[in-house]
Amino acid sequence: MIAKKCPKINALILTPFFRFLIVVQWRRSQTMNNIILTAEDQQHIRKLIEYKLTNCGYVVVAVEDGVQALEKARELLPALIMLDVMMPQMTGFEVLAALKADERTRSIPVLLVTAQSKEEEVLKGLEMGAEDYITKPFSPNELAARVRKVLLRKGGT
Amino acid sequence: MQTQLIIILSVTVALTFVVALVSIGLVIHKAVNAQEIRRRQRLYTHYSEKFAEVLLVDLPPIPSNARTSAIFKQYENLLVPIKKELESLPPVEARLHREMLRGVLVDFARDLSGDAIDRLIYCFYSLDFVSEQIELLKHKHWWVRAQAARDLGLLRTRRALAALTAALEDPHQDVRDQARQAIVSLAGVESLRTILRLTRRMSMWTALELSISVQQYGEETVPYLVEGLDLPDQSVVLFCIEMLAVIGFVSAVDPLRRLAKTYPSITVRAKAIEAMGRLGDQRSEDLLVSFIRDPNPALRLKALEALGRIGAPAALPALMPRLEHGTLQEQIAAARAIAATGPAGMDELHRVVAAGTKRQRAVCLHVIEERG
Repeated sequence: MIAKKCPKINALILTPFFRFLIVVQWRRSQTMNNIILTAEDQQHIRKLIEYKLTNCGYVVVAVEDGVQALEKARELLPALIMLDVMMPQMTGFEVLAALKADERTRSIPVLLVTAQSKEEEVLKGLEMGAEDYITKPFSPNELAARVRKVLLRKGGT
Repeated sequence: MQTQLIIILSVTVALTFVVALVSIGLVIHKAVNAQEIRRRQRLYTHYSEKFAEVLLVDLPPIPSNARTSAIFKQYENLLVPIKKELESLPPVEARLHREMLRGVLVDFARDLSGDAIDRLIYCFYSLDFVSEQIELLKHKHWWVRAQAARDLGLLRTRRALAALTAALEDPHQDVRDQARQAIVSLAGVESLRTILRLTRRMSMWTALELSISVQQYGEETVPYLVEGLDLPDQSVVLFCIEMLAVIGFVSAVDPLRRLAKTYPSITVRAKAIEAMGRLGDQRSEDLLVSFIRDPNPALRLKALEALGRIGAPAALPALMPRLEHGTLQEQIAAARAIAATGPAGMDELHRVVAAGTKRQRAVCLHVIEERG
């Protein structure tokens, strides 16, 4: 409608540069839906999660502590955040609380990674608003399935 | 005066020189350490990345008629680049690389389950890390030994069973506990057979650790315990007898009877008699009665105590002489056995109270009071 009324704007939209910008923005929005932020202090597990989820078609951003996780979450607004409960500087619970307190990150689903046999950790995490949890030792296939399930539940990819 | 000044000056210069030298040394040491840590971290990152790929890369499906070894061939192919890399390194460098690689594999084993762990275990064997991991059970720090025992269990290294059994004798409780759990996770209830065969002069600690596993599996352990009765080590035989009694497996009475009759050691025979009493099976009565007249006082006493648990009316005639002529301990045990036979036995005790000697009366009154 605006384009009809303003031929100059119409002309601008049709310029190759503007179309390029639109495509870039659209692609970016598509990619953003696929970003998974994972915070894990143990390097080997971080690498494994990164490899597995990348293979499943997600864009994985891996960080090694809670502070970085919070920064990246605010910056990227990922589709899902995976938080290890035991992390240096900020625990998974502290990051979760900060995420839920922030208007922008409140709706991002969080998947907690906890040590086995720590039922109280799981309950605490779920009460604080985590979407799901996975316990160590875990199967990489199970991890991918849980990520997919959480994203589907939240209407993602 | 001038000489003194020169001496003081010389000493000061020498001290300054030494301090400077030590400081430089410390700085160099710190720098070398930091470099070593960075190097190790780099290697860890390198192998974490490589192994994340090895563990997760999709393999082509195996035809249904293929041999089981086909899957291992696939795993072996994944390891080829890593093996080549290790072989190309000089020995000192290779040792460090292997240490870091083993660390990565063990860390993965702690946190993973499912298909990935099968692949990981194959890699651990194929890279020949088992011996190195077993060596850690001899480390001077207990926490390293405990961790090594736990990891051997996680990595299902059956070859470590003997070393883990030896670790049941470790001076530290945590190491013993981890070793026991590892053994059970390695071979389940069947691990008991290996443990019992390998054990010599079983300590109280090992017995305690093992008894937890035995009670966990309950009657499933009976075949292994019965087998254990024929092993050459006396401490193992004693442990098996005790466990059979704890589990309460009545069919164990026959092998226990054999032991009580024929075993060369009095300790074992006495233990077998005690176990028969605890099992409470009527089939042991005749044998127990025959032991009441045994020349060995330990066997006599154990037989009397066992009859006290079973409560055998048929044994009453044989019990009375022990109440009349036995040692004080035997008299008390005999009185209890008589009381356990029922009303007839209680009548006998009352009769002895009325007509027996002072000691017999005291013993019988004590037992009657016990029975309420």
